[in-house]
Amino acid sequence: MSILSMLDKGHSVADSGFNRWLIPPAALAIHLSIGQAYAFSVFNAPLNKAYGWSIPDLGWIFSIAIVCLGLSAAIGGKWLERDGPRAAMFLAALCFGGGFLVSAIGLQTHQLWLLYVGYGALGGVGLGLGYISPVSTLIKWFPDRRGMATGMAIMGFGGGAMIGAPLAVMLMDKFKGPDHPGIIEAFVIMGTLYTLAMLIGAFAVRVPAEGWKPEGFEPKPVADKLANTSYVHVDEVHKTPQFWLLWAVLCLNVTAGIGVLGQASLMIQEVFKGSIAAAAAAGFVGLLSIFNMGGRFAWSSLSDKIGRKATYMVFFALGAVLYALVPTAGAMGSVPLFVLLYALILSMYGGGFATIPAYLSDLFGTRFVGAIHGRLLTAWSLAGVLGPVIVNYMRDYQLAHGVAKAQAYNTTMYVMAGLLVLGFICNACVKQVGAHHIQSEA
Amino acid sequence: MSTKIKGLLLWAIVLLPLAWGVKQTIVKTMALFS
Repeated sequence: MSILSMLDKGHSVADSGFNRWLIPPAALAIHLSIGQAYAFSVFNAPLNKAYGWSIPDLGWIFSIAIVCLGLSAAIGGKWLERDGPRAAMFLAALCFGGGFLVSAIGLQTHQLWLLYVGYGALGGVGLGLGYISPVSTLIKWFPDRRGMATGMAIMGFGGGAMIGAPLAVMLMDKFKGPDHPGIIEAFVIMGTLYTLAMLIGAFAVRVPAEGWKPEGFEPKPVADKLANTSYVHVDEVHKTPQFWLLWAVLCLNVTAGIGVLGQASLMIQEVFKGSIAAAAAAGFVGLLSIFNMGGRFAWSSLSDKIGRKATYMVFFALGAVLYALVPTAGAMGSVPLFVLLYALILSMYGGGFATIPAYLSDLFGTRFVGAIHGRLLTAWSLAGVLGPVIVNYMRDYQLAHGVAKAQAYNTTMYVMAGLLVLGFICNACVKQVGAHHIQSEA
Repeated sequence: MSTKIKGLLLWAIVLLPLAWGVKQTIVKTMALFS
């Protein structure tokens, strides 16, 4: 059997008796790999030092990757539903790994634009296709625990940075010499390793046979969930207010978290000047990563019990209160309270990502959930630009107007709390999809 | 190779690097509390 025919959806249908618990590790192999994107910033300082490219110019690599993630997820989602997850994962592996290799050529030839095209555009396509591919498959394998299943995969995306950052540092240390920083070797090895890991995931994944359901599982008629055979078509979904409300819910939740995540190290050092050293600030960032990852699994699993809408109500209500308390923690000089507030905030940031696919499948059915999820991820692209801009611009504005560094983030925290209140309102407006949008399988 | 062994290998391939990464992160996080 040729490799191309193995990518066929028909060849990835599971036999009866297949153990569905083999799907989460296949999904994790993909998400743990592409989650490296969150750790790309570890290359910024060495690239700046060795090649002379400015930090803002280097920042564009990540921004292009996130924009391409949203676009490729939106465009590729329909293809994923038609041709199955294996082909999409295979292409994601080639694009993500290839992005590293093209970037390595860019370093060898001192061409920054090749890093934009390589890690940014090509890698970004790998990110988008890789992100959405396992999600709809998991929802179909775990109709009884949709939140937990997708949370497990998306937890991998949060955890990927924990592998990617120390791996990059270790490889650069190993290969650096007196006249080169070892980044090219790191890129080549990481590109190869991630391609292999993602290919393992691609060939391990299976889709359930038509009509399959877990043993003993009988779908209960639940008021806020579509029946298994009903769905909203992906081309119809953007005509529903529910899609745009969830788009706003994701965008606002991510905007509030992503800006803070990027500035966490600088923020804690400036708010507690003199008492928090750079190493402790790096520890703070590490702690936030753990909560970001853990929140993805914990909150999405909880959503199976209390419902998706209620889970987002908690994110937005509790998140707004926590953000509003941050300036108080700073004024009190309480590092433990400050750390606790941010840890909880970041757990809900991760939880927001992980709970959205199950929320979509409840409202629009499981048939096109991968494609619909892909289109919703354009909200992430916008938030990836908005969040850092708000945090950085407001900090600079405050400093320019004579506000002390320790208080420079206070207004930003109240703005973030305001964004979450807006998110609360959007989530409260989400109702069942109108019957005229819903189709049923014959 | 039996399905059970394949499954265990697959879980090991993803959990071992994750455990290594989490350990590295926890070591780094300790600096916050020292």
